Order: sequence, then structure tokens, then C-alpha cells
Amino acid sequence: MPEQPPVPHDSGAVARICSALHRAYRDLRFYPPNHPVVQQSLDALARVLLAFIRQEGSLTLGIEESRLVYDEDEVYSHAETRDNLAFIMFRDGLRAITFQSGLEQSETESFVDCLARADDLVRSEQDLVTVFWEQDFEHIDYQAADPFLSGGYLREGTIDALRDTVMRRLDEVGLERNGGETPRRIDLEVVPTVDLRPEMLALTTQEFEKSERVAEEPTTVLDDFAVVLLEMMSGLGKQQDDAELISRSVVAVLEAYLQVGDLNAVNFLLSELEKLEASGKVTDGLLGTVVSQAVSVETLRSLSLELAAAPPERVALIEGFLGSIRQWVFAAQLDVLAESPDMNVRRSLLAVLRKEGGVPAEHLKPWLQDPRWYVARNAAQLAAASHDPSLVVPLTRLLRHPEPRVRREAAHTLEGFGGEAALAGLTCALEDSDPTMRILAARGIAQVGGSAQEDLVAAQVLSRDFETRSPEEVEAMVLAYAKLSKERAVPFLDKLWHRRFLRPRPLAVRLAAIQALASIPGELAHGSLAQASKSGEGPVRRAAARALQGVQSSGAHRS
Amino acid sequence: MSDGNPQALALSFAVAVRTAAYYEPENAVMQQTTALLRSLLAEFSDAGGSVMIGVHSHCVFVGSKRIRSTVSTYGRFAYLIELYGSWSIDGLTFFEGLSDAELMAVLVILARDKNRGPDRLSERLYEAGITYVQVDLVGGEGTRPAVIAPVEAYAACIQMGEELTSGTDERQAANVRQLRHVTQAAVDQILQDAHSLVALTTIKDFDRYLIHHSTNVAILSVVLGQRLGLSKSRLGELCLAGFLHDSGKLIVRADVLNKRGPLDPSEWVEMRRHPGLAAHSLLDQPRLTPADMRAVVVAFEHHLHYDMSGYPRTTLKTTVSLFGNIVSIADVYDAMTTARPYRSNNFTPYEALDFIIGKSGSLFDPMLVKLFVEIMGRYPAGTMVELTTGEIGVVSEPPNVGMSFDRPRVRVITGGEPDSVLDLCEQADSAFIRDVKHVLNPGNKGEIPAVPAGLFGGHVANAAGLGGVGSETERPTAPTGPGVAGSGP
Repeated sequence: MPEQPPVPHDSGAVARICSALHRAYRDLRFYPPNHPVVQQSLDALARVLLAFIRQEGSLTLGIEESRLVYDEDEVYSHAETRDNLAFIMFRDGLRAITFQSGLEQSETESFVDCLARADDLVRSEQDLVTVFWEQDFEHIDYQAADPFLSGGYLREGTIDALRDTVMRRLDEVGLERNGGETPRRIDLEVVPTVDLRPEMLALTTQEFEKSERVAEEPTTVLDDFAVVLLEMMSGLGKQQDDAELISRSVVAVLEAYLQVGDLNAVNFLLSELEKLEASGKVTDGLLGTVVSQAVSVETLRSLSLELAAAPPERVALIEGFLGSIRQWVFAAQLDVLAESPDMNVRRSLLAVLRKEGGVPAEHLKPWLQDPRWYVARNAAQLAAASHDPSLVVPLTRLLRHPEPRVRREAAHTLEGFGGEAALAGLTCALEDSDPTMRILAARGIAQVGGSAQEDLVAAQVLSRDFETRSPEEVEAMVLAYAKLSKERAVPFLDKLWHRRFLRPRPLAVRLAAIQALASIPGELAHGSLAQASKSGEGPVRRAAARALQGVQSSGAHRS
Repeated sequence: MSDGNPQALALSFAVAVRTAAYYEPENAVMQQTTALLRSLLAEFSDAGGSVMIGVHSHCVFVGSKRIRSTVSTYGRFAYLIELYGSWSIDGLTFFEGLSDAELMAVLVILARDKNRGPDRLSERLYEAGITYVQVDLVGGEGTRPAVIAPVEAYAACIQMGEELTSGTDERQAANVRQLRHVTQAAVDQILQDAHSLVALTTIKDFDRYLIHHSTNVAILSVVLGQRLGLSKSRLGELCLAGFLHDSGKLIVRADVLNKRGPLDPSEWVEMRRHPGLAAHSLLDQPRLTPADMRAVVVAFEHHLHYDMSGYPRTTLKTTVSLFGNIVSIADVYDAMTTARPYRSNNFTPYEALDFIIGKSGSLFDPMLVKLFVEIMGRYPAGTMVELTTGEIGVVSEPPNVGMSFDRPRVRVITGGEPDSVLDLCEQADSAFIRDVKHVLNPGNKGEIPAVPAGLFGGHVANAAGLGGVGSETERPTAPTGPGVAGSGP
């Protein structure tokens, strides 16, 4: 084969490669790996580096404390030590890097990724030499100035001690000669041998398959580790210090599972911890401590985001998980609820948080005062599930919130609360400028109110603008009035359904009166209804006939 | 390059070279094998019309693709790696235009030439007029990770063990990093030359039992993991786990740990705490890496058996992990082959292996037991044997891959030329020259070092390595210096 001509030394090209390397390193530190900026800089690096390797066969960079050198020429330096690639590699003991022929872009990307993680490695007591070794790059070699890898820092005497041990052991069996004397005879005992045919050691087909499977298995150790931690906890009892160390590791495992989204594993671990706690083998409250440490706002946010797009089984899994841990992560879940822009996510979270007694009042109170209207609204909604009387005051305060949607939610929740305090709030809402609020208040008062509210409601139905209000409000008010005033309301209602020649009443008002009359027991109301059922106006007559029929059938049913 | 399976090309090449060692070029099998190889070479040629079959970091490559070794391909790849090593080459590049005859000639040279070494293959190919094959020499381009001698890797492990057990139970960050580097160096060494490291595990120092035992278990575990085809990073984790598996013994009461006699029931209770104690102490780190987690699992499991008997008693665990099963075998083997003063009968490596075979399927994973026996051979290193030709010696190395498992290499102690190494695979007139006649237990110590004292360099006071029984003749000092462990023919 013809020999290739020597390639001229080109430090400029190498400097450009180093510059591209630095840029890729910097971008990967600042942006997520899939960010277009990162991809561009990685592509640029691969382009210049692979072109150089194609031409020159390989590239070796010497690593000095603050610069990279190529054939003794400086090809890279960086003023900021923390970001100086040479320093980062030098600090971890690397002294030279060689990119070999055959280098692929994926390798350069892994290489840059390792560099970008260098600071994290220090925190976890690792280093680039270890990471490079584990990566086992096919076309990137390195030289490390490690004491043990070079052999130079072995303590004097370590190898001598090994030699002495060998000599001593040989002497013990009579094989070591002492000062040129004849060795003692060895006491040799013949060991009985056992027949073992080679075919007995041949792997079966199943064993072959197993060997290939276990060698290729994904390298996760978490499952084994988690079970061992549980076993250790189970065996330890309540030894506080030991349990604390183990629970710290359990937190790490949970975090790792959550990072990869393995909720089945998380659920298994939590259920086993729950059993341990229930059996008294671990300190009470350990499960809650572990969960609250392991489940971050970030985790909840990412799971909530998943809710919006995941298939149904996954959604069920996530919701189940969020439900099972809710009691320990209320604060974090409320954080996510407040910040999530996705309506589906918020709905799912609200559903989770509403379950089993809802969110404790102490978590909700700050959110009920949140300046963001939607946060306060959600909090008011959640307050309905928690049903804690201490929330009445902040809820009542929300009835004066500038945002009608918040006021409505508060009114709705207060309606469910009942009691004097809730009624006070609802009463106040009766005079709200927002018709929906008034409707809610009327409905609420109809449910839980008493004679004390009668006048207030009467004032509403007797107000000048009453007949101009929406049919829904009219209906709610009239019904509330009927509910509270009972037979005392009949004369007014009777008047209300009648046709008026001057300024005729809207039909909706008259029909509402019919409906309200139907809700009042007694002859007086029935009489009014009977009269209405003979009205010359079709809609009134039909509505009254239906109402009367309903009243009669319910009476028959009661009797 | 073809999208086909490059493993097929690598295997075909390994098979062809091996076939060339046994068959003449005109043999039909040889011709068929060569033709298949040539067609695969053509299929895998890149745009430039060439394909490289190389070895790097104890892995076979086709072009830039690493070919993973498995249990079923291990033998053929191990042969290829050994062959490249013997020629001191990193790769062979085959160019378009290579004829069947030339390829056949290359295979014959590779397989049969005895005079091997750096540059020799290039010379031989040149002499044979072969121009379409290019030889890449070891270290020909760029740099390679520093490689240290087996003795240094072993000594580094021992030194690290001393540092970790020297009174402080707080592992400093520097120590943790160094420990990783030491285990990496050991794995690198095992990938290059497992036999040497296995031979070094026979040194055994009773006064520093824990340190030697930890090192030996780490090495034996990695050798078994390598045979299984585990990736390098997993071997690193396995090595670390093996090294730390018994660290709980540092916390066990000293009077129990060092008792020179059988333990009473209460002492057993204390002793049986050590797996849990080890696991617990290994948790005490600021951030647990997957390697640390494996070490915890293995420490906890190493006295749990394949059938889940053993200790500690478990309620959730239903199986022992792969690493746990591997370390369990290595642990039992090393413990059994270490002589203890309170034992009335110390086991030879042969007997220890027999025990493990006997408990295959109950205490130990049968698949791993079979692989372990394959690695160690029927007569593991450190076994003293008497041969049918009258010599007495110590097994220094198991037979090569693919050879009969009961024909190791034996370094002669007496009855022949002392310190010479006899290969029991050696034949004359199609018959083996010598067999193992007896397994011996010297001085009831069970096992003796498979390495000569002279291996460690320096002046060997009052000794010349292994002395021969009844021999008064001075022998030359055994080979010295790094890079030589055990002996080869």
C-alpha cells in the first residue's frame, strides 16, 4: 500500500476544535441536553473534530493545569478557572486525551457530557477518571496521573510484605529453605479425588440463555437495593440512629424511582414501609418523613404534567400515587396546583386533593388569602372537602373578593358548611352585585337558613328590580323565600303568578312562583296551585297542573 | 460497512484462525472456513474497501463496533485476544483484493508461527508476499491508559485494604476515589491477564486475613463476572462490591472475630451480624452511586445462599442478586482455601472446588458454579499435585480456554527440573505425556502460593522461591520484575 504523505502540523485547527469543545461544554452546562443550542454546538464540535481525525488519524491533547497543548503548542486556555476545561480535567488527574480514528459523534457527545457533569462528580466523590473508565470509550483514550494506576505511589514495603508472606507460607509447609540448609520433608497427604466428567459441567440450554440474559440485563440496582433496605429496617427495630441512615437511603431510592417514573416500584416500597410502620418495626411517622423528603415540587409538577397526556392506565397510576402520598405533601401539591397552567392537571390535582377529608385547614388558609384569584378559588373549592369550621372566616372574607369566580366558589363552599357562621357569609352574599353569587347565596340559605334570614330574602324578592333579574336568580330567590317563609309566602306567591295588566310580569317570574308554591305544604298553597291550573294562560296552567300532580303524588306516596 | 451482524465476522475470523492451527490449507474444512470468512470480509468492507478486526481493552472490534463477549462466544474471542497479544498487535485491516490463497496464508501464519512478537507479523506477511493485510501494532497510535503489572495491581488492593481497615471507620473522599481507581486497575488487569491475578490470590496472609480475603474475593468475583460477559463498568461495580463485602467484620467484636476456636452460639449471633453491619456502614455516604448500592446489596447477601438459606433471615427477599451469587462463590472458595490454625483439616483448592460443586443448586447458582470450575480448572491454582511422571508441583495456571479442564500448568517443586512449568496438555504421539496422579495436601495447609517469592523482585533472603523437596541444588532465581506473574511455558 502506498504510504500516506506526512500531514503538516496544524495547531490552528486544533485550537478551533478546543474552542468548539469549550462551547459545547458551556452550552451543555447551561441548557438542557435536548435544547437546540446544545445540539448545534455538539454538531459543530463533531464536525471539526471528526474532520481532523479523518485527516490526521488521531488527536492527542496534553492536559496542563490551565491549558491544553498540542505538540507543545498551547491550543486552549480560559481565564475563568472554574470553567477552564484543562483545569477540570487536570484536577481529576487526567494528563492526556487522545481521540482515535473511528471516533463517532455519539462518543464526542458522551465525552462532553462527562465534562459537563464534572462538578457534580466531585460532590458525589467521583471523578472524571472513574467516569471515563466506566464509559469505556471505544475511540477516546486517556492518561491519568493516578498513584495506583501508575504504580509509583505504592507504599514502600507493600510488595516486600507480599514476598515475605509467600516465603513464610512456603516455609510453613516445609518448602522454604533456610540459610541453604536442606528443606524439611514436606508432610504430604494424598487427598481422595472425586470423579467429575467434563460433560457434567456443560451449561444447559437454559443456563446459556440465563447467562446471556443476566449479562445483558439493564444495570439498575435499585430494586435489589430497595429490598435490602427494607430487610435492614425490618431487622433493626427502632434503633433511631441506624434507622435514620437507612431511611436516608430509602429517600434516595424513592427519588431515583421517581426520576425514572417507576411508580409501581415506588408504590411497592411505600406499601412495605407502611406495613413496617403498622407492625411497629420502625418509628411512627417514618413513612411520612420519607415521602415528604423524597417527593419534591419538581417531581409533583412533572407527574402532574404527565397527567395531561398519559394513557389512561398511567393516569390511574399517577392519580393513585398522588392520592396515596397526599397527606405528606399537601404543601408541595398545593404549590403545583397554584402554578400549573394546564387545566387538566389542575383538575386532576383538585380531584386528588379533595379525596378523603380534603386538605387540612392549616395548609389551606395561606392559599385562601393568595392574591392570585385562581389560587384562592381553588383553595375555596378544596375547603369544601375539608369541611373545617376554622375556614369559615377566611371563606367569608372571600365573599368580598373582587373576582366573582372566587366569591362564587366561597359561597358554594360555605353553603356546604352550614351553621351560623356560614349563614352569615351567605346572607352577605345575597347583596352581592354578581347575580351568580346571589343565586348561590339564595340556594345556600334555602338549604341551611332559618327564620332569621326570612326578611333578607323577602327584601330581595320584593325589591324593585326583582322581576328584571335572570330567570335562574328569580327561581332561586323565590324558592328560598318559599322555603323560609312557608305558608306566609303564599299570598305573595299567589299574587306573583297572576297576570298583571299594567307592566306585565315576565313569564319566568310567574312560573317560578308556581314552582315555589309547589314546595310549600298545606291547603293554602295547594289552593293557589289549583287556581293556577285553571288559568287561561297555557304555560301557567300546564306548570301548575304538573306541580299539583307532583304534590298529589308525593302526598299519596307519603300516606 | 454492512448493516449485518459484525459479530458473525469476528466469530468467523476466530474460527478460521483456530481451524488453521489444526488443518492443512488443502483440507476441505479449512477451505470452506476461509471462503466464508472472505465473503464476510467483502460484505463488511467500508467505502474505502477495507475492514479492520481489532482488539482494544480486551474487547474485539469490527471497524469501530465493539463486539460483546458472551458465555457462548467467550472461548473464541478469548482465543483471538490471546492470539493478538502474542503477536503484540492491536488490529488487522483486510483490504479489497485479498485472494482466498492469501487469506489462507495469513491465517496459517497467525495460527502456526511460533516466533511471535512486535513487528514479526508484518515481517512474516511481507515475506509471504501478502500486501492486502495491514498490521496495527500495540500502542501504535496515540496513548493508552496506563497499565500496571499484576503484582502492582494486587499490591495496590492490599494497600488499599490496609488503609480502609486501619482504625478509621470514616472513609474519606480521597480514599473512596482511590478505592475506585484501585478496583478499576484490578479489573483492567483481570481483563488483560486473569490467570496472573488468580495466581496471586493464593498468597494468603493469615495475620491479615480480612485484607487478603477481601482482595481475593474481589478478584475471583471479577474473573467470574468477566467469564459471564459482564460489561467493564459492571465488573468495576462487582470488584468494589467484592472488596467491601466483609467490611462488617471490622465492627464485629474483636474477641469473636479473632477467636482461635469454634464459636459458641452467642458468638455466632455476633458474627452473623456482619453482613447487616457491612451493609449499614456502606450506607454512610453523602451520595450513593449505583456501585455503592451494589456493594450494600452484596454485603447484605453474601451469606445468603442460592436457595435462600443462610443468614441474615429475610422476609421480602426471594432471590439473591447475580452479584450476591457471584461473591458468595468467591467468598466460600477463598475462605475454604485459607488455612486456619483451629481447623483440624484444611482444604486444598481441589476440595474447596469439590465442595462448591457438591452444593451447586442448593447453596450456589449452578450456572455460576459451572463457569467457576471452567475458569479455575479441575485443579485450581495453588493445588499441590503429584504427576504420573513423578514430579510434584503446584498448579500455577489453569488450562487454556477450550482445553481439557483437568490439564493445568504445573510448576515443578521436586522430582523434575525445579521451577520449570509443565503443561499437562502437552502430547507425544497423540497421547498426553503426563496426568495428575494425586492431589496433595502439604502440611495440612491445603493450598500453597501459586506464585514464586522471586516474582516480587528485590533480594530474596534465604530463599530462591519455591524450594524442592530434598533438593540441595541451587537454582536460578525465579523470574523477577513487574509484568510476570505465575509462569508460562
